[in-house]
Parts: sequence; C-alpha cells; structure tokens
Amino acid sequence: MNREYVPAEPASLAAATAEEEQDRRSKPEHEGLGSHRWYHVPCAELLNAAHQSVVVINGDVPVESACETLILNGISSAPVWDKDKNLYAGMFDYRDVVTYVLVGLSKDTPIDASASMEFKELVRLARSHEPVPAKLAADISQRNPFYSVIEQTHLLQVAALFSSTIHRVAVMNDAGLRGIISQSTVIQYLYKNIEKFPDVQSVFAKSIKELGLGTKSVIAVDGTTSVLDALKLMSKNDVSSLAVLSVTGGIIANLSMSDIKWVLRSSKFNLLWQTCLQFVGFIDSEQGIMDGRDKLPVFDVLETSTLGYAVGKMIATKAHRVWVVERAAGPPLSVVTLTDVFKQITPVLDPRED
Amino acid sequence: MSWDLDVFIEQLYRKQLLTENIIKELCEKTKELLVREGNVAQVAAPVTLVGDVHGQFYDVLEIFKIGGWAPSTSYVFLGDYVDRGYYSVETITLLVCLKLRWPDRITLVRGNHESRAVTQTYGFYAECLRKYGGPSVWTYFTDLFDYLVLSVVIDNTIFCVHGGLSPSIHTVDQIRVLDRFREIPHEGAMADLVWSDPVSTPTYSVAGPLGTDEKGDFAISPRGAGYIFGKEVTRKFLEVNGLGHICRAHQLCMEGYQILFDDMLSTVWSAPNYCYRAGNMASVLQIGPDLQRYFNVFGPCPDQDRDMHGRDIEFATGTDLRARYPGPGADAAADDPTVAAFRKKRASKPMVPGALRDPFEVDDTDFQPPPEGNIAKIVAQYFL
Repeated sequence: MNREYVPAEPASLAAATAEEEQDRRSKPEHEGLGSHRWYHVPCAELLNAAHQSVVVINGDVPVESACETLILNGISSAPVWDKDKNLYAGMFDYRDVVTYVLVGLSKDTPIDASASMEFKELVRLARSHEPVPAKLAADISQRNPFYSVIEQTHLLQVAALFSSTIHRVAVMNDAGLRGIISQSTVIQYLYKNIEKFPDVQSVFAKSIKELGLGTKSVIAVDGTTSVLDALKLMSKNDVSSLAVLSVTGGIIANLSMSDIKWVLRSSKFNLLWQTCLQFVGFIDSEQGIMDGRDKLPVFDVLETSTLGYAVGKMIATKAHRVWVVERAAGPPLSVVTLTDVFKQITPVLDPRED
Repeated sequence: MSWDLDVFIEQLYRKQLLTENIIKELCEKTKELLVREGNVAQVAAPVTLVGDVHGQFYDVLEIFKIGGWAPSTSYVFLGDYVDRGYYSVETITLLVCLKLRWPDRITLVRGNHESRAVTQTYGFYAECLRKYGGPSVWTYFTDLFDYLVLSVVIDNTIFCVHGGLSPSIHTVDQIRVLDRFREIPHEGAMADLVWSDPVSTPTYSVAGPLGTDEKGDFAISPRGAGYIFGKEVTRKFLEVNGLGHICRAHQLCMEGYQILFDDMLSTVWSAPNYCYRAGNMASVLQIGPDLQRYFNVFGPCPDQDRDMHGRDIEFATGTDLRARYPGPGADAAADDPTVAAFRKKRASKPMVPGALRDPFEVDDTDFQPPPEGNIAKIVAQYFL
C-alpha cells in the first residue's frame, strides 16, 4: 500500500503581500523571504536541523524483530522496504504491533469478510503461530500510511496532513529516502525558533480554554482493567492512548499504544494480563532507573494554561499529548495532542495567496 | 498496647511493623507537631543531611551506624522516604517515630514521592495494601505528608530542599508564605521545590515571547513537573538570600553525591544499589560545627548483616565502622586494595555525640592511590 504524495507545486517564494514585505524588512536576520511563515520552510531545512539517522525496516523480517528495531533506535515508527516489489510498503509503528498482538491472541474472533487480503493473511499466519513479516503488518492499522514529499517541498504541503490523521512524512531525494519528518520534528523546530514565527507565538500565548481545546470526550479505564482490555479499547476507538483513573475518577496515569514495547522487549507477555495500574507502575519504575530520575505518572495541564506551555511540556517530556484537568489529579476534561496543535497553527489555506 | 515511643522504636529497629491503630495515632500526633513548624525549618550545625532512601530500610540502618544513632546525631532527611524499596512502610514509620520522640533532633523535608499521585504508581500504595490488607495506612501517611516542611536553612548559610529552585521563588521568605498543607500540585512554587533539577546546560528555555514571566535560565523539566536550572540562577538565589550553598537530593548519583556549579550546589543520594540493582554508592553529608562539609560515602548493607540488631554496635567501644560497598561479598571487596583500603575508616577514639569524624584519623599507611587519582572524588573535605 504505497500512496505517493506528490505536491502540485512548491509555494511561491516571493512575498505575496505588502505586509510580508514590510515584515521582512523589519526582521533582517531572517535567512530569506520564505521563512517568514513557518509553513514556507522547506523540508530539507528541518532535516538539517534534526540530525537524524534514517532507520529502515526490511519487510521480510518478523514483526518481533521489527519491533526490536524501533525499541533500539528509540523511535515509534519506521518505513518498511519491500525488496520484492522494490518500494516502500508502508510505515511500521507500535500501533501495528498492538494489532498484531491482539490478532495473535484472538483465536476465536471471526474475521470480517470485507477485511483486506493482507489482513486475512496476517491473521492466518498469526493464528498458526508462523512468523508474520513486517511488510504485512505495516499499515495494517491503516493509520500511518507511507506519505512522501521531496526535499524542496515546503511545510505547507504537510501542514494539512499533520492536522489530520497523518503524523509523519518521508522526505525523498534523488538518492532515495532522505529522512522522516514527524509532527514532533516540526513542533521542536518551531519552538526552538519561535521568535521567527510571530503568528505561531500569538497562538501559543492563548489558553487552552480560549482555543476551545478544553473539552473533548476522552477514553478512560479504571486502574483495575487488564492491559489487554485497555489495548482492545484503544484499538476499537482508534485512539493512541487513554487515561487510567483512580477509584475516585481522577486521572493517575496514561497508557499509550507504544507501551506495548515494554511487553515485547523481553517477551514479558504476562504483563498483558496485569492491571493497568500495575503495568504503568512497572514502566515508570523501569524508566526511572534508566533515567536516574522519576517523573510524574501523568503529564497534565490546566484549562487556563497556555498552548505554548502545553507544547513546551510535550517537547520536554517527549510525550505526544497532555491531559487537560481542572485541578491536579482531577478527572480528565480533555486531551491536547500534536494534531490539535497543528490544527491551531495551520492557517486555513487561501487559494488566492498561492 | 500502651503508648511508648521507645518500645515502638525498638520494634521498628527490628523491622517489625506496628499496628494500623498505632500508625493512625502516630500520624495524628506528628501532624500536631508539624503544623507548628514553618515551611522553612531553621536547624543548627552540627547536623547530618540524608538524601533519598526510598524504602531501603536496611540501608537506613547503615546510615545510623555510620552517622550515629538518634538522638546523638542531629539529622535532616531530604525526602523520598517511600516507593521502590521493599520496606517503605517500616522506613517511614521509623522516621515518624524518631521525629515524635526527638522533634528537635530530626527534621523531615517533603520529597516528590511524598504525594498521593506518585505513591500510587511507584510502589508505596501497593506495599501498604500488601502489608495491611487495605489502603487506610496509605491514607494516614499521605495525609501526614501534607504537613512535612518544604525546606531547611542551616545556620543561615546552607539551604536544603528536596528538588531545587523555582522561577516563582526569589527569596526564602516567599517559601515561608506558601500554603504547604495540601497534595503537591503539578505546577507552581511548591511543585518546583520538590521536582526541579540543576543541569549544566538547559536545553529548552521558556523565555520571554511565550509567557509573561522572564524565566531566563529555567527550562521545563522532562520529568513533567518542575524546572531544570543553571548556574546563574543558583548564584543569584544565594546572593539575594545571603546564603553560601544549596544541598538537595532527588537525583541518582552513582558515586553517592555530586558537586556542581563551583560548589554552589550539591546533591546527596542515600540509597545505595538503588532498587537493588543500580550498583551505585550512597552518601550522607556530615556538616560540622563550623559548617565543614564531609560526604561520607557508603555501600549497601551486606546480606549477612541484615538481621543483626544494629543498635548493639556502640560507638563507645570503638567498634568497627567499616563502610560497606557492593560486590559479590563484603570480604571480596575488602581485599581490593584500591577501593577497600581507602574506604576503611576506623574511629581511633570514642565518638563525641554529634562530632565530626576526622578523616585524617584514617589509617592509610599501607594504601596505594590508584594511578587515575580518582580518590579525590570520593572524599570531599570542604571548609566554608
């Protein structure tokens, strides 16, 4: 499943309005006309700033091995190369691992007749305990397809994607895959260079309540739910994390799809049948020893906190979301994700500006 | 059972749990005591500072063996008494009893783990359930944690706190007016004091354009609460408040302690072989009557000593005060000339209660220093 994203034309480099021209003159330290708006920045510039090494997963290796690659490189997603078809078969991420695990453990659940060929093949292999190749599992969750852009493409093209369900794009050049740009890469770039992007600054200065992000239906489980049930709930509701609640209904922890890596790391499958509270306790404990410091069990902000503060927290903690609460350890009112941030800062595209 | 703190303490030294009702009463009485203490406790030298102990009960006994048993030595504990170790309940019960028995000789500062949110995931809640069959004991202790002081100043010179500094706190007086009698919030001055860390180079600054506060050197912490702060902020805090040094805990130190920012700040860590696997050393900071500072480094209690009643070792008889350290066995490590010889400390004369042990009394005649000269790191002798 290789959906190629071809940009129509790079956005015009010339300043379109008199206002932009004036801004350019008043800020001589900008490195060009294009960088006044964040979405005029070419992709290549972000990759230069990010210093990443490209990790590609061989499509024929089993899912467990692909998961190991993600863990060793500290990433949550990687492109999968299908050498038979000589193309990128898709993106492999932890959500695909969860789907694979749930399928493998669901001996009796009937498969929907409308499911794709790949999915039926995956189910067949998983249930007969045969290794499932990564290229089959990639994109099986249909939430993280392989989108590619070229180096010169401006972020404008990916902005719309990042405001929807796509969280990363592959940047190609003549030699092939140059790198991956994810929502995190862009947000970190913006945050570090915030003084160059006054329009983003003004959005970041507003509170979460003001921006209408303070209420959203959140998926939550109480601490005694088993990890397996929680994963099934996340899969069914198409979310990548959920809130773990105490007996009084306050949020005490967060469970993400990517936490599946702790189960796969040393094949601790018994963790799947523990309660969510025991599982997050185990994860926080291990992480704390690895880092030499413990962290708050849940990352939250108040409705009155600014979006900029929420973004800062997400960057500092390397989390992809923060929960919104009325008071510390209160019930979760909402969740702010990187997708929400992009929705706020990406302008509604005016066709006349191009 | 009649109410006798000395009996309770003797029981606890033998790692015997007290009943739920006694714990309830202990917590009530301690709250009455603590409510009269301000957010910033004033303590006089000589005193010994203890960092995170995290329920490692046997290692807490090691601390008393090395530093002196209460009340002969005055102690300031910098927080993180519970979670992770197997004996959080015994540890905190003991410390609470010692505080009640000798309130002027024991000071308990609040750490980030003295919180309902954190103890529910890091082990204390589960341990209380396991040992008492229900959450009542956890409730008594977490209610008590709301009363612990936030910081200590020793002889108007050394500022002690669990975590670190806050962009909202410029003077010690600002700490005095906080309302501490609550669960630790996730943001604000009280959160910062127990969650912040010093680093040499903050990476993400929360400078001007994003907010109304000019936080300057502070950056949002990867822990999800508090900030990371640098040298300039530390220097300014010391200058503005006429202080000489900040001592805190909160971060694991492989060597048991760490000195930063040209000795303006130090971290003391008192849980050796953290979680029974990190392989780190631990230390306590012994502060002498003239504010001399000495990091007394030690290793974990060896397995064979675990059931020995520590109180039987009396200072007056000049008993072996050999510090322990991790390894296949204490004796094997003792044979290693580079490490063992240097760490062997024998008190040549009876200890005066509260007096600082003079490291130059150490018998090191047959000691060869290692070629890299890393010994300087292990024993740090400072004079203000």
